[in-house]
Amino acid sequence: MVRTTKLVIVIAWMLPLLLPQDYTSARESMVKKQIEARGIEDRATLAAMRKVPRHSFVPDEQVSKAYNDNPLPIGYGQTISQPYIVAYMTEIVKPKPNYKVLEIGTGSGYQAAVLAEIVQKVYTIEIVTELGKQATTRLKNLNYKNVEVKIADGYHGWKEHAPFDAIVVTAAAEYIPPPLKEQLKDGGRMIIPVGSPFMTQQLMLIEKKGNTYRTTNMIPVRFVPFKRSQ
Amino acid sequence: MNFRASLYRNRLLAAIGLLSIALIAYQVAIIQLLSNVQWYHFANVVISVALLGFGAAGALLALLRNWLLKYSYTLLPVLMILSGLMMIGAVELSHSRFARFDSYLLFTGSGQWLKLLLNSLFYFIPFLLGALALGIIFIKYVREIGSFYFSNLLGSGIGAVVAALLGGYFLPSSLPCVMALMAVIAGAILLQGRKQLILIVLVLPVAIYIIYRITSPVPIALSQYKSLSRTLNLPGSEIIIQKPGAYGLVQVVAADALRYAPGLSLAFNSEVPVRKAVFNNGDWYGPLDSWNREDSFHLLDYTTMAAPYVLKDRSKVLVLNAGSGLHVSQALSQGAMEIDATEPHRGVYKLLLNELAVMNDSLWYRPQVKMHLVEPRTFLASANKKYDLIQLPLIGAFGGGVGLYAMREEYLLTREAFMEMWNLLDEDGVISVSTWMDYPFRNSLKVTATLAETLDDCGIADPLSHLTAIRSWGTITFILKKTPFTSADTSLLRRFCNAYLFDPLWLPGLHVAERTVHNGISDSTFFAYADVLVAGNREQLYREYGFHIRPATDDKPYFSQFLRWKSLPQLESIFGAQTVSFLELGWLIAAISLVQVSVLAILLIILPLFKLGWRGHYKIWTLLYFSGLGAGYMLLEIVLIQKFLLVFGNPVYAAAFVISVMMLASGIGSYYSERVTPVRNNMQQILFMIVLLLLLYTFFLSPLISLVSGATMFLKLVACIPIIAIPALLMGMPFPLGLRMLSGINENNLPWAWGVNGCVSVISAAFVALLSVEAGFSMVILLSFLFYGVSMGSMYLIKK
Repeated sequence: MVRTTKLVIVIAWMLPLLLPQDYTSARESMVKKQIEARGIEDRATLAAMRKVPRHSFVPDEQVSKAYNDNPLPIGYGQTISQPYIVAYMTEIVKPKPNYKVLEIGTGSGYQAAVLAEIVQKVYTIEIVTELGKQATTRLKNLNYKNVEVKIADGYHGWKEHAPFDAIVVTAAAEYIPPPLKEQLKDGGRMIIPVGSPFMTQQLMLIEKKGNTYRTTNMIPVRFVPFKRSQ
Repeated sequence: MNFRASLYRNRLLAAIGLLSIALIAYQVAIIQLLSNVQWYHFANVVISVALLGFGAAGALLALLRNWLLKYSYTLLPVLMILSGLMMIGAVELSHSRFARFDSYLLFTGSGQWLKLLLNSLFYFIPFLLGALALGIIFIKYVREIGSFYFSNLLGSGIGAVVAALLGGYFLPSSLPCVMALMAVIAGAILLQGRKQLILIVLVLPVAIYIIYRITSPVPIALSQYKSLSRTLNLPGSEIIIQKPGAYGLVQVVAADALRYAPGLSLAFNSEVPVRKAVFNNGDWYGPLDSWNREDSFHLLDYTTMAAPYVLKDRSKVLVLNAGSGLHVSQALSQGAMEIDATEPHRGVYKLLLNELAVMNDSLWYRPQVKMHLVEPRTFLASANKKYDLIQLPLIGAFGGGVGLYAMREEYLLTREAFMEMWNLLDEDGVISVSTWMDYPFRNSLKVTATLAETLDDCGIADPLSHLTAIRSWGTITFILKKTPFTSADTSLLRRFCNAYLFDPLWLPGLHVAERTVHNGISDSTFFAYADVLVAGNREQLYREYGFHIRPATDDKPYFSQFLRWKSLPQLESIFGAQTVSFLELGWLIAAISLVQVSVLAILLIILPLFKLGWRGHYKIWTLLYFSGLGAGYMLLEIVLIQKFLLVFGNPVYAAAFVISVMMLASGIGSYYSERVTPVRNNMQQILFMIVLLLLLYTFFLSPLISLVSGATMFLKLVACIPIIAIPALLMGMPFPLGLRMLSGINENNLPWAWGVNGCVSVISAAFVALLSVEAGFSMVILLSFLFYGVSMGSMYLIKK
């Protein structure tokens, strides 16, 4: 009897490891708790975040943490952004189905996949050869036909396909490359994270109007001033 | 003593000296290596655990005293040789696949903590083995402890100098092997006789292996998150120059896509040029910049950092911490006629003047440019010239730092430093300081507070007539002007802002809406806070804000320390635990290090009591007396190193100078103590003199050091040696006297006393980092005084 009970416990414990995982509920929970709860409302963005299998974009050893509320390492000093930041960056460029979007910094390919769920075409550039190759294979395996990956220096943008309705820069840069702002359509929006890996506190929104630009320092997480009484 | 015994005694003295050199120099070499591979914070975490080897050796000696003393003749050389072998072994093991850790990933997975622990353990072993050898000698020859302790202290003092010197010749991965060789030689000195023939034969291949590792070191992989690693991921990247040095390993990298344009204006429409870049210990140091008359523009003309040149042509410019020369080339491009640039990094300085001169168009050989190899504060203290512009380097990291520099002394950013700069300004001169915009707002607010208080110190009633700031999408440049801004200045700055899509933060007659014409900010509380700091209830904001934004001072020169311990839970609820870890990493790591070391040290203090017994035989006296000495000595040593940085203008030389003078003086004190009878009255008198000196230092050390900072090097040396040597001489006496006294009371407690002293020293070293950040250096000296007071007070537990 004791032996049987032990066997049942072991099998019950091993079962999740033996059966293929279904991450739908994890994804749903991620969207509800991390994204909707923080004020993301755009339906298309929420639907994309519900659909894209984030666990397929992280290294094997990180799969169990894929839907956690934080960025994860993907190698080569790069990270896959926190789910909320991906959703925020997607919503802020106001993507539409007929949009052509340029992404600088493919990384794992997750942000490109989320955008690809909403817009017509995503052009994405990765400078690290190995990451670019991995992302190309991953996006192909997941059947994203409207994403094109190029391994190159993102500084120059992708002139052949310019202008773009929106540009999403996923790798923080200390300057905004002039070719990128030129490849943005009039009225287009560009979003750039400002911060080191594991710590994105600010996002820079650049709006192009004619030949001029306006930037807004967007702060997804609002810092509440502290009071002595607290 | 017969001839043989006398010869062996001399060998022991030599072996102790050499082993002490090796142990101290190895400690410095490991800090250098780990700072290169990871960050220096983690070097401190690893090294603080490793140094507990001294405490652990005391515990082991207490537990196995008789056995260890019985076989000491064989054990001593074996322990020293093994210590040397493990110095290399630790480096090899820590870089093996199963133990290699990445400090950046510590907060993303628990596996990394285990690896960190393993690393600490690897580096602990050579210290344990070396310390055990020292402990055996001290205990066995306790009646001659004065001489042996002298040799130990002298070796330690030389070790600090040796590490600083050899650091300039060996790569960080080779340096520990040189120290390993010294430890092995120390062991070999003690080998003799037929019985040890096998050891003599074995030591040769060990030495050959170590020499092989010096020439062909273990391959070292940097953290993938260090800026050098990330740069090397760029296509076509290559390290073109590599130079080891006491300051760190300097590397120059070329890559096809390596560009630097901090906070570049969106009005810039040309090509951002590809530059080579300089890295120090794997961290970004600066782009290799040049300036030619043919160049049509300087990149910084399109940043907020051009603001001081918009107001007026600047003829005499002082660039502080010039790095690789970005602000120097900017000053040249703006037509400056006399440019003084300070750069404390000897390695970078020599590279710029030699190998890199071809690549930067001989920037540093222009007749207008004069480069000074010195810390900026030392230069400010001795400068006798007035400047049109004093330019500081860009503060903070892009998007906000990760709190890495929280525990680093930044004397350039204290109130006193700004006051010195103010005094060096010409009539229309300005101080220009820029920061990256960060979030939560920290750097920008602390700079505002520092400048506002500088104006207070200068007796300026209307700060906004002397202070302005220009903000871009990423940077903010503050300008402090000696004379009030004129209406012409105001219009020039407005025109500059409109042309380059920047916004003014303060300008005489500024309308609130002007602050966000080109660059909006979704959390507008920044403006309110900045205004309060300049012209409101500053004190209240200091108290209520979630971060420390009160200006740094020379007593607490920690500009980048923002964390308020009590705010942590709230920060965690806003940003999440992982993010907060990266927000204030430096402070958190220091705190974790202190807790970890304290727990282990207390265990090592308690463990021997299970064998020695908990009561009687002057246990309380031993604990209080030797703890007080360990803590008091360490606290003063660390404060002196920090304080003398201002005098010598170089942290490596300041540390080497203080440690060597202090150890030598203490060694002489220890040697002299052999002539002193270890009785209560004598020991109390010595301790009383130390306590009195420390009390005086609490109040007068800072003014004394300020007094000598601007003097010539000769005068500095004449003045500084007695400041360090007098207390150190006295402080070298109580420890050997205490051991001798204890040997007369209860010899079994000797190893425990030695262990207690070692353990408490290590706790103090970890504690002092946090204490000086929170309470200032004066408080650390005061605490040192209190600890020596405890030792003095504990003498009343001894019968006359």
